[in-house]
Amino acid sequence: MKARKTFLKLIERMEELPTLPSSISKIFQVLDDPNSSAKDVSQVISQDQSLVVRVLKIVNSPFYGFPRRIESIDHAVVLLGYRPLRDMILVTSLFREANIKGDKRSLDRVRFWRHAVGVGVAAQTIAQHIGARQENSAFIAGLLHDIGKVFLDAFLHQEYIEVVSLARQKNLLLYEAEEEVLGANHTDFGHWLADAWNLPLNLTDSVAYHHQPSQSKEHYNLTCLVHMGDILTRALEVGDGGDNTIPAIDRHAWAFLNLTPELFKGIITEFDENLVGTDFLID
Amino acid sequence: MNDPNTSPKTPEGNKKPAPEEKDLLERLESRFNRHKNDKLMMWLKNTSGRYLLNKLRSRTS
Repeated sequence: MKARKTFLKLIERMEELPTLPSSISKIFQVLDDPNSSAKDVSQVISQDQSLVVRVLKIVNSPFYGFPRRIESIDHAVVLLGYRPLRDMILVTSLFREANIKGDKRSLDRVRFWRHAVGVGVAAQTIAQHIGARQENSAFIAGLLHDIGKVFLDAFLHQEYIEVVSLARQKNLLLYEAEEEVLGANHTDFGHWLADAWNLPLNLTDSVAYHHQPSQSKEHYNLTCLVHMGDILTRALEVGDGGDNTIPAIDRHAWAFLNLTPELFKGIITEFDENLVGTDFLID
Repeated sequence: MNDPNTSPKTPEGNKKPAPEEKDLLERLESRFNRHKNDKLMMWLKNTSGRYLLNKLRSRTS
């Protein structure tokens, strides 16, 4: 992380700080309680009608491909399981929270979410190809990897317009422009947010280190998957991460994942096919 | 890895590329410009570029 002082100054400039909605915190408490039952979980979700609609929309999407329509939260909880349900609620809630103040001078939200979904699908596809056991985590980690960008844009909007403009003018990566304008970048801020929200450590690592996977000590494999997923998504022009250039492939990550040019060609084709049916996450 | 056969090419050799293809090739040049000396990134540029060109052609044909 950048010098602590510089980073704290950045946080101080925010008039208010991003928080998780209290209804979500309450749901997480129940989901994380080993003694809670499926009934407890569905009861607490049912108190938030917009969340009920979102959860049912997700479980009925082509992404899950259940053969029959799921009509109730009880049924959704049993079918999805606690962990995937928790991750899905987290992602859709954060997307909603950060979906404020976006405009075309900074991050075009629709194209940005398309990029995030692309990285999730790409990381998952790579995991499937190399036989890694982290397919679901890879998808969620990919979705969340740039969460620092949207919250910087939402909470320091005028300065972020300057960041995006500088990146476009000088053909910089967004994190390079962020460092020039803000003195810290979205991985620093995302790391801080993930810690503040007590996100699982594997997700925190990929948020913090997807541009420098070698710095991830605990969850190197997952961080490498997100790093490569980000580059693949940019190379295939899926969505828009806010800049017009591509970061270099980290050679250690490439070797660690046992990637080869031949294998990667297969991943490209399958990634494109896997993107079909993910539009429900953008809506 | 630096396989010339994987380079994105304009259709039928020297024929002028369609405007959408020209835009795509220009974007590729710009996006990968900083990696000119990186063989792996140049391979990625050629491979993903060829994939995108084929997709574009199949959409417009």
